[in-house]
Amino acid sequence: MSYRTIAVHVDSSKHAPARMRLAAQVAWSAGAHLIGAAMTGVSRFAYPPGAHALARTALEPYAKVLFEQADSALAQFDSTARAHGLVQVERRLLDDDPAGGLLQLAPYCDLIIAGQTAPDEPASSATVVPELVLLNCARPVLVVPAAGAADRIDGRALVAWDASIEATRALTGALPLLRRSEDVAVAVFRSAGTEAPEHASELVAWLARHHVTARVLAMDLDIHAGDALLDLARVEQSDLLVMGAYGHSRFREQLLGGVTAAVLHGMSVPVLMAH
Amino acid sequence: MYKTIVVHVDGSSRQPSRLRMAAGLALAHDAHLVGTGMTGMPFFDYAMLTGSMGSPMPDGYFETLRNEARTRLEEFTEQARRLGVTDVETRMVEDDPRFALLMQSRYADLTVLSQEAASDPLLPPRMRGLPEYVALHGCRPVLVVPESCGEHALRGPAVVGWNGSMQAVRAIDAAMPLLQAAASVKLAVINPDQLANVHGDEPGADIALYLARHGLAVEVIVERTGASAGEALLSVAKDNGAGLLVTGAYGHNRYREWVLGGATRVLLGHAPLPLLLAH
Repeated sequence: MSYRTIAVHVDSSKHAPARMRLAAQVAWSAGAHLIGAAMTGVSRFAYPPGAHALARTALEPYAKVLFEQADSALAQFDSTARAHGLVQVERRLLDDDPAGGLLQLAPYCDLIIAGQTAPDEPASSATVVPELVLLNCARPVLVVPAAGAADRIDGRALVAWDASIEATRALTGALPLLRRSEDVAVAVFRSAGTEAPEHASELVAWLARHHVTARVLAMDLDIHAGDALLDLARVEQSDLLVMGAYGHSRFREQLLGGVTAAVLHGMSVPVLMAH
Repeated sequence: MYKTIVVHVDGSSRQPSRLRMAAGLALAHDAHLVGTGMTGMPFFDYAMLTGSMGSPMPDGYFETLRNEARTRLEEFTEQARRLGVTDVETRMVEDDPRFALLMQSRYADLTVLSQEAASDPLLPPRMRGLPEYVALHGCRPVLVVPESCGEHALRGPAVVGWNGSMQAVRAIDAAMPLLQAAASVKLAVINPDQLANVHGDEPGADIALYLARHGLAVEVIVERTGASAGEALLSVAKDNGAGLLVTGAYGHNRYREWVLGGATRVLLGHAPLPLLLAH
């Protein structure tokens, strides 16, 4: 598989430029069509069916401001993308809330790029909730950290592997990125009662047949051990983390502290996730 | 890209047709072919048999099962080599076929299984439904091969069932190498008006554009019919002389299956052509 269509969330937050630069870089090296998606922030379920355009409803005076904001974000996206030498650039304005808009595009993209929920900005209707996108689409999502996103992610990659369906999907979705990485480390997490570590060699063989050379880091830890993964990424000086996104019930998340939530909260490098 | 392909090795009468298909794919994609054989003894049964202190270990019986599985795998290697595949590996799993194939499929890009005969008297009930089990519980695509299928089937037109669901997205993704090798690709959209909010004004247009960027020229076929989705897909496939049907695998609960008739079940039981499923 290769990335032929990539969609990036475009808004006017202060973290958007770094996200758009990274998206442009990924699209450029993949030779992919890049869609910048800006949303009005008002859910498409908020107005009656049939009135497809927000502007055609009684909300028109308010909608004008939202459209202007989205348009200026898209203009900035366009100039960023062109500055990176991209030719296949598409501006898309969706009458929807951010997660809903990205989910509308997801079936027709190979990769979605969204931003981490920024801890230093007030949540607004323009904020994408990465968890919502992740758990409701069949595509890999690259989440860009709010702080210090590098412009390149083809150096050192770290894959968190626990032989789950989610981890398999993330790994498969990350193959085009991993093929370009200088170094790929697979952290094999295992806890009592899970698959034996000898399966790591099968994983390495599978990756090798996809032209990815990987080394194995055996971790005698449960993958759900909160910040252990982020610590490992720091020690390994990774610039890309690949992992499954696990959706647990709210009750279990509260009890165990989901690793997905921990990583989405504490991440400092881009994370590719899939559910 | 299919780089690792797993094929079920059980020595049955249906093995030759799926092996021909798997070997043909391995050659076409320069892939590694893994034959997965199994003793057929589930771990649970083993634990029940040997768990009691007083009961003697039926060692001889287990050794027979292992020897039989080993012989089948040796025959598989020979058959695969005769079909021209050099990159062959065998795996023996001491468990039942469901567990063995589910585990092995994780480290493969495609799992090749056979369509089950409607009423195979030799098949114990818990061994039935292997293709849907692997498709629904695993995360890799399953290619279900009918016994009568020729090895060149996949070179014909391919029909893709499209309803905008996550399963359909995954099936298209997983089938990409097959679609790129097919003579033509027809995108079947069944009763799009019922899913107007998913399909938009022009059903199938968005996914056709997405596929075009992957180098696929797609023809969209819109069917408005009273038949079930499974039957409608089969009739589109028949009308187009298709050699492959690609669709998402949907697991419904037993009640809903019984009332509505699962499309997946219809296809698994009756498809006269290879079926690629993903969940």
